[in-house]
Amino acid sequence: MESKAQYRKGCVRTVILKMLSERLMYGYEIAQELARRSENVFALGQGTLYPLLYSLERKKLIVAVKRVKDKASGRERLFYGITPKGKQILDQDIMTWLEIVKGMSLVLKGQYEY
Amino acid sequence: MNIEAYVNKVLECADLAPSDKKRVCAELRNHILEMIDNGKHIGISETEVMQMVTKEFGTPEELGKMIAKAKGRFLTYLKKQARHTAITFPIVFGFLIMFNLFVCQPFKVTKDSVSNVPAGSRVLVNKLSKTFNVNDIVVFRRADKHALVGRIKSLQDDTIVVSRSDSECTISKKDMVGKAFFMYAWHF
Repeated sequence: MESKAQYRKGCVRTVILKMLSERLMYGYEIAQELARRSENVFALGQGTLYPLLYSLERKKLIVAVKRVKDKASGRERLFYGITPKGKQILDQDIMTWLEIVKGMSLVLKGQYEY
Repeated sequence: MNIEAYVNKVLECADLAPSDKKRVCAELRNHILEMIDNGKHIGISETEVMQMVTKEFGTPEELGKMIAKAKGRFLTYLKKQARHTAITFPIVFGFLIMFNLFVCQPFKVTKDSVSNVPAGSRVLVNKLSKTFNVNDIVVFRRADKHALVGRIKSLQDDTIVVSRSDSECTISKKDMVGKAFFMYAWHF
């Protein structure tokens, strides 16, 4: 269980950067989209989401771009976007991930089906 | 625990700078309200959603600490200090200007000012001083408002004779800026 959490922790930054590289998103939307697209593998404890977003923002990988008032609920949503530095880190993360997948595949040699 | 109590406790534990506090408060509150709205659509009550919130977000104390860490405790400290400085600096600056105008001001001694006082040194003048004695080093203003440093040679009722290295001036008491009480020099 602890091992799974560690794996996920390392990957969450990459998947959040990937989603924000596609379009601007707000906090709740990120959590929902992440769970949907990963089929709940990356269903973040919602409490992990904001500390992670603030941490990425402090490292200047993402930035709070704009506030938009939702017409239906009247609530203000803060949208995040990726920065050029964030894109660089995302590219590096993806390269690292591909190397890991390749290495793991070679070692496991198709013994497991996904 | 209701939304307000939960969010307030998180903010209390996070102890953020005011601008961050406002933003985190709005984000957390709106996030939870969206959870409640979505819960209503699938038949989950607000109480049940709040139980889910506590389970998913963690206790407010835990979440507050995580947010404080993510925002950077040192950065938060600097933001708070910057806010204090923005308030304190104009007050201190204003105080110094008033102090300089009415209480105490430094004047530079030019080469022709006063015998036995090195040229280039500065004298601090007490502008509140009302009594003068012979041999006091003083600063006075000429008719053109230019300030000069000199030494009192003699005193009469309302006039003072001030000697400078190469001249003497007779001035009225009202033209006195003040009496020097400290002398110093910058050497670079």
